[in-house]
Amino acid sequence: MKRREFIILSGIGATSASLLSACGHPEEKLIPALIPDEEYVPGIDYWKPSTCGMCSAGCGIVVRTREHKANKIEGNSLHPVNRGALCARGQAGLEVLYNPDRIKAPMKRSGERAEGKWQEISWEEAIQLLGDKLSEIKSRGEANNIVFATFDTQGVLGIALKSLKAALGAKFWVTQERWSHPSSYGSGVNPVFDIANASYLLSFGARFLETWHSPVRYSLAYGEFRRSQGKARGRFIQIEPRMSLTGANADEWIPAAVGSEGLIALATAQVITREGLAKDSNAIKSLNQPLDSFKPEDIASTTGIDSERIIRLAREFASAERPLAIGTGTSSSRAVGDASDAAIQLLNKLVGNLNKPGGVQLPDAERFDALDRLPQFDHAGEIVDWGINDLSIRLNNSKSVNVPALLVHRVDPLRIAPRSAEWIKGIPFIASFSSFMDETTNLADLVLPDHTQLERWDLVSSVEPGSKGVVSLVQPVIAPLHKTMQTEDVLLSACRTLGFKEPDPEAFQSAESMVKYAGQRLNSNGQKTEGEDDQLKSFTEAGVWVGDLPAKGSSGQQQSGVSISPFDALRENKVNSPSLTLLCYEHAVLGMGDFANLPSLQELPDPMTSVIWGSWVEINPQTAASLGVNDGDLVEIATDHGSVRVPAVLYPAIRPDVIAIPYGQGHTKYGRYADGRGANVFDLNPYGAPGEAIAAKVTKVVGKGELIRFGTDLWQQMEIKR
Amino acid sequence: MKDLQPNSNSETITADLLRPLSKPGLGWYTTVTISGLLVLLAAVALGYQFTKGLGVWGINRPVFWALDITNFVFWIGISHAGTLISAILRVTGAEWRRPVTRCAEAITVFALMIGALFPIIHLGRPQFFYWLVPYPNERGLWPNFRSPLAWDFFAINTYLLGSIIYLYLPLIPDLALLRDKSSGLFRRVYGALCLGWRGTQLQWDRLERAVRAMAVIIIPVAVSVHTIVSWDFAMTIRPMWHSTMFGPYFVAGAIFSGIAALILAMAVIRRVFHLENYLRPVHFNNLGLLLLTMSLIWFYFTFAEYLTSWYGNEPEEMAVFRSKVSGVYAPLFWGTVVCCFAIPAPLLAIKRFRTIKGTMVASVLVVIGMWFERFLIIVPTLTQPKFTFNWGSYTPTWVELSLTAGTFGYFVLLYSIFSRLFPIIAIWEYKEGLPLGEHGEQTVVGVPDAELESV
Amino acid sequence: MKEETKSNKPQWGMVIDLDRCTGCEACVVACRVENNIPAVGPEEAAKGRSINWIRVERYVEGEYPDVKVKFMPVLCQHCEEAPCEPVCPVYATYRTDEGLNAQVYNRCVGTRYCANNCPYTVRFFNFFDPKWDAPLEKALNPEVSIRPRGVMEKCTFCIQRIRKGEEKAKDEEREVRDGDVVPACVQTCETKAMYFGNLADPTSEVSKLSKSNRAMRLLEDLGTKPRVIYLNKGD
Ligand SMILES: Nc1nc2c(c(=O)[nH]1)N[C@H]1C(S)=C(S)[C@@H](COP(=O)(O)OP(=O)(O)OC[C@H]3O[C@@H](n4cnc5c(=O)[nH]c(N)nc54)[C@H](O)[C@@H]3O)O[C@H]1N2
Ligand SMILES: Nc1nc2c(c(=O)[nH]1)N[C@H]1C(S)=C(S)[C@@H](COP(=O)(O)OP(=O)(O)OC[C@H]3O[C@@H](n4cnc5c(=O)[nH]c(N)nc54)[C@H](O)[C@@H]3O)O[C@H]1N2
Ligand code: SF4
Ligand code: SF4
Ligand code: SF4
Ligand code: SF4
Ligand code: SF4
Ligand SMILES: [Mo]
Repeated sequence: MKRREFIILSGIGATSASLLSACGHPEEKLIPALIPDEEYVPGIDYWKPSTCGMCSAGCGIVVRTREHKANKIEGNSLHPVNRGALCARGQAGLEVLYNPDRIKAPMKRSGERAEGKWQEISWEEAIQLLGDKLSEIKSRGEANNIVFATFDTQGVLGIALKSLKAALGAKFWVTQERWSHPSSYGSGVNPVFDIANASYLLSFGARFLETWHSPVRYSLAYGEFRRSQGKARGRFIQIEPRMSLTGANADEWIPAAVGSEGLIALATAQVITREGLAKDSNAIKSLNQPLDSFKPEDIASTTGIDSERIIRLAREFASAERPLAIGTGTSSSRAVGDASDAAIQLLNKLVGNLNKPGGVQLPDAERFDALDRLPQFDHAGEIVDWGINDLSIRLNNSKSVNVPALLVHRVDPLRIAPRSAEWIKGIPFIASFSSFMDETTNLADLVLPDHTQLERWDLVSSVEPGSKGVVSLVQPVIAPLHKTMQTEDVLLSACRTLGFKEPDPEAFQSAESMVKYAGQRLNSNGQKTEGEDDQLKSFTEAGVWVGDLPAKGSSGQQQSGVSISPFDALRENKVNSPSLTLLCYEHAVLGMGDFANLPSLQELPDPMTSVIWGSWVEINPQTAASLGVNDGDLVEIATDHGSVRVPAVLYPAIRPDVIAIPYGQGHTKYGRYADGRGANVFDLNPYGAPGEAIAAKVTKVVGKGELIRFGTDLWQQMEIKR
Repeated sequence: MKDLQPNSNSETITADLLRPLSKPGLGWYTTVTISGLLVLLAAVALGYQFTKGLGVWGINRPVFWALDITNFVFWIGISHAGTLISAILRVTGAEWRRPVTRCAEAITVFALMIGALFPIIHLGRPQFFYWLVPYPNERGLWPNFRSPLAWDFFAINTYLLGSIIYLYLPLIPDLALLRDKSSGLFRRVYGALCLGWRGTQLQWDRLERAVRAMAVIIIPVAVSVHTIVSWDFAMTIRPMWHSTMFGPYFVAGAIFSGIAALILAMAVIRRVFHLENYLRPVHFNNLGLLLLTMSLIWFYFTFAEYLTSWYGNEPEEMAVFRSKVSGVYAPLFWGTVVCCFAIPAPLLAIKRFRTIKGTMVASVLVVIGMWFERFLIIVPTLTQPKFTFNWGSYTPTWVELSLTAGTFGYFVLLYSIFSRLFPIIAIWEYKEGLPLGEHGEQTVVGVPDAELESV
Repeated sequence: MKEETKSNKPQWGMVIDLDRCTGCEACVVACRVENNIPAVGPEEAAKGRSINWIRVERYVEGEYPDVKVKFMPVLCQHCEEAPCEPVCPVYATYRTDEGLNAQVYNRCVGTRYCANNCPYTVRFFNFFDPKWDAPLEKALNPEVSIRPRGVMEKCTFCIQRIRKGEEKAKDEEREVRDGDVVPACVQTCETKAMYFGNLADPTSEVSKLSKSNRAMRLLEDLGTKPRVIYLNKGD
């Protein structure tokens, strides 16, 4: 059969396809791809740059659009964070935009609360309703008890909130769920770990390849760490109770006891100092007590790591050409969390790798936000910022305050903060800015659907090592799909109805105008300059701006004192550590649950267990055997706070005294793809921090758990064939 | 052509053998009703499948073939009953064949028709099955002659055509008989079909020569068909498929199941149409012996096949091997061995049990066993691809099960209808063998069983 | 069963560095989005009918605490001696003169024979018609045809991107070079573990890497001559 014949054939195919479409295959009106080289005429694509909004890393993206439809997201190769690459969730971004379960217009409650009866309204009315409510609260003088719950207060939202404060003439409560970086490098300082150039990487439970600060940035770095021109293959040790995907890529995985990272770090430091291997010995001076009490020999039984191993690690680390230790991520948000991070930082100090290639890079600049170029205006005091959990508990306990209104944006308190459920339900007025119906929004009185990431305007500013400022542009790649409005614009209009006077009406017109105003003034500090429009143009075409910031020349100088007293307690407690510890971790793609409504991510096999479309609990085979649990059995996991039923996965790479469950599922009101799938892990672990570890009981229960895998279970073993 | 002996009663014979055509009896009607219902069920299942898509089957990735191909191989196997048996018996001039041949030839045709259905209905897009046909077309497209599936296509069609002719030729004289005995429309139809047979010497000579020739030709065709079917598997590189002995292994299995089917068919006909003194213990005895032989041969092949796999100890082969002999498929596997060998062999070896009942029991077991043998050749291999990450499993849906049940119903239905329209025992061939042939030697048909103990 | 493809056209090939690959599966989603691969949903997925033209196979070795995990992205290997090709009765899968294992959906009748004979299990069958809940279909790539029920599909090496890249080179009156063609999976790879290019061009990155002493092919002993080359972890 000759090639020519295929050419004819495929031509036929095209027509036969459209014929088929007549009998109910609409999709097939598309052109078949397999048409021959000679006859291929590609259509015209328009690539629009923007910024991925699916986690806080802020990777640059370019979106391929044709006929006013977006059909592919790719990494922006100009962007310093992701250099063209994109993670799995970033790739699935279009399913947020085109999600069938989006809220398509503003609505007000027409039935009882949580009854799910809605009446569609116009934006004018919606904004009026919100404004009236707020002014009523203001007139009652309760404005400063309003709670605005959001994921992240950066960017234009920050300004919108300021104007709201100004308009209400009160400081009010803002909760921010977004994970913030361990502060042991000084508050607000975001170090960058130069993994790419490190030769020896000692990681204490940091899932830098999956979640953590910036998965793509650190995956790229990891690639170079493994293989790059004229550089030996780096060695990577991961210390964590449960092998994460990151741990699976380590050369050595060390299953230390839950929460013992800090101890191990100190013991390592102790060996380095006692053997005089420290490159920068005055680092010890920052300690508030001697290290002697943290000999590897003493802590072995607590950490479950024998002293020889720690001594070996210490020597390898200290003698390595470019050693680097990285922190525990949010796992550190426990009693000893900050101290753990400090202890890990101590290791870096001992080998003196601050701002050295392959070391810890501390930005040498003041806090930087491109939106500061907007005219400033004064507003009531600072934002009071706690996780919704902590806040609710506080407010609940001090019965004096009763919250008149809860405004939810990009968070789902009702699901993530079960302890606050009653408190939330008691709030007289709830407005949701969510793009999707979710557990909290379902309870709302007023729904003001937000644009999704590919429809909105925003600026994401960050400081890169040295004194580089990076500004990523978030701009619409297509016209809004539904009758939605960007939350910031809603808030600004509401403020106006409250009589708020912006310093520069033109600039503060909308998120778009704010972004453009700042975009025109990126190079200059605020003043309008010549060629501003070209400046804006090139910015909107590149999607990212990188510029120099005034160096403050104090980089890495902050010798934050390290208090290791919290460890004394830890060192002692060998006994009352629970027999089974529950780890809850961020699902690599479903995250905390916000992406459980994306079919492509639901059907993406979990890289370790290959599970799709559900939750599971990871149990060490020994433990499982002792519990009489087999792979796939339905088990009940119970903690002091609640219990869930999930299928068991025999997981060979987890400590026998630990079980682990990923967040991400257990929705009840989050659309067709998410609802009724898996378990809501927040019920087990209602603290405001990921990676919190608590005692759990496992019991086998009758019934069939839905455990769907793409690949076979972990016990199928095989060598790659040569 | 010698005319019939006056002393043997030709009329009664004709009457007996034609009775089914006039008064089939209650047994016939019940059979037709039951089998008809099964066919209906299958038709519904098939309609559902065509409207919804192949997804209504239990097949998946990596088990892309299952009951569809099982039934395909099974029925093609059954088809070997007829033609092959009757051909071999004719060629070797075994006298006792006379009442057996047509039962056998009919089986072939119908089993083939059913088997050949599956390559079509198992397609993802059955509407395009004709793309396997090498017909001249404006796209200048031909089927891929390198594909065993294309070979199947030709082999099966040849075989179908051949066996139809082979069924038809010996039917001619009886058709003439029917023409003479019937009236009206039937007379005209039979008349047309018997091609103006007059029973002249010339015609007899031609017929006999034609039949003998077909008998010789059909044997290699039959062998090639099942060899090629086996190559659908043997030509791949899948563990426990890629085997040089699959050709003979399949052919043996085919004849094995074929004989079993034949014995069952005969037993049923005998009861339903009260042909006790035509299909006599001797025939079951002789076929029983053939079945025994095939059972031994089948066991030999199976043993050889599995021993070599096991001894070779190749990881992928072993995975499949274990799943069969000790894994999930062990019950089916050992069940098969019991059905095809452990029980039939002794049963048939012991003369006392080689009765009509005995051979029937053996045959039922063999038919069941051979169906599962086909299943076990196909599914376990598919569930275990080379990379263990992709291992899978298979459970059939009601659709596949209904289709399977339907095939049996369809077969019985066709067979019943045939036996109502045409004498299921070749009248002329039977009479031809009546007592005292040319040189006065006894021929089996005439002899009382008592004297046959030595056969 | 050999069909020589003598050709002066580019010979496309891929290199995957297993030492860089972390198993993050960004490539998997990228392929899904680029090539209009539907999510089949939990019920179908449970039956083993989920479609991933590229997948990351995970293998676990050893017992706690000495557990080693291997990740291996597997896509159609575009074998030069593809076992899937000769068995197709209608030439719906065949070798192009660029060394691609092409799949002509319109010609496929759905025997699934090719899938049974693919040693890498990378062929996927459309058991039902694909479906996208509105308005998800708006995100479909107009340059990739939707595969109807009953046909086989698999990685095409992003044929649509290859065509574009070749067009570009032609317009600029030059040979194709590295960077002209970047499949979706390669483009997004979070660790830059994947490379794509012309194996016939000795100066291309893939040609160079394919000569590395870490280079190997999957199931080499079968003699399928894959066009996907893997680089082992070993230093
Ligand atoms: N017990 C416990 N509590 C925790 C944590 C923990 O680990 N354990 N982790 C904490 C941490 S780190 C985090 S990040 C939070 C996560 O908690 P949340 O931020 O509440 O995460 P989700 O539950 O995914 O809620 C995100 C909501 O945003 C809405 N949404 C999605 N897309 C859009 C959009 O484009 N626009 C708008 N306006 N809304 C959108 C959806 O309705 C979704 O319900 O949980 C915190 N709370
Ligand atoms: N791909 C992706 N990236 C993300 C996100 C996402 O959803 N997806 N979310 C972003 C957000 S909002 C956040 S908060 C971060 C969260 O990202 P991370 O900081 O990585 O938080 P987790 O992955 O939940 O937990 C980190 C590790 O700590 C372990 N761990 C849990 N509890 C304990 C403990 O008590 N002690 C010890 N030693 N270890 C423990 C967990 O098993 C896990 O391996 O990721 C951010 N980046
Ligand atoms: S890491 Fe992934 S999700 Fe986060 S911004 Fe980058 S691409 Fe988006
Ligand atoms: S990998 Fe499988 S599908 Fe791809 S060419 Fe090779 S045999 Fe064919
Ligand atoms: S499924 Fe399609 S491509 Fe595969 S062999 Fe059958 S017809 Fe050919
Ligand atoms: S090359 Fe293209 S089609 Fe093949 S796996 Fe990669 S993205 Fe998918
Ligand atoms: S994207 Fe790259 S690193 Fe991630 S799994 Fe695929 S090949 Fe491996
Ligand atoms: Mo977070």
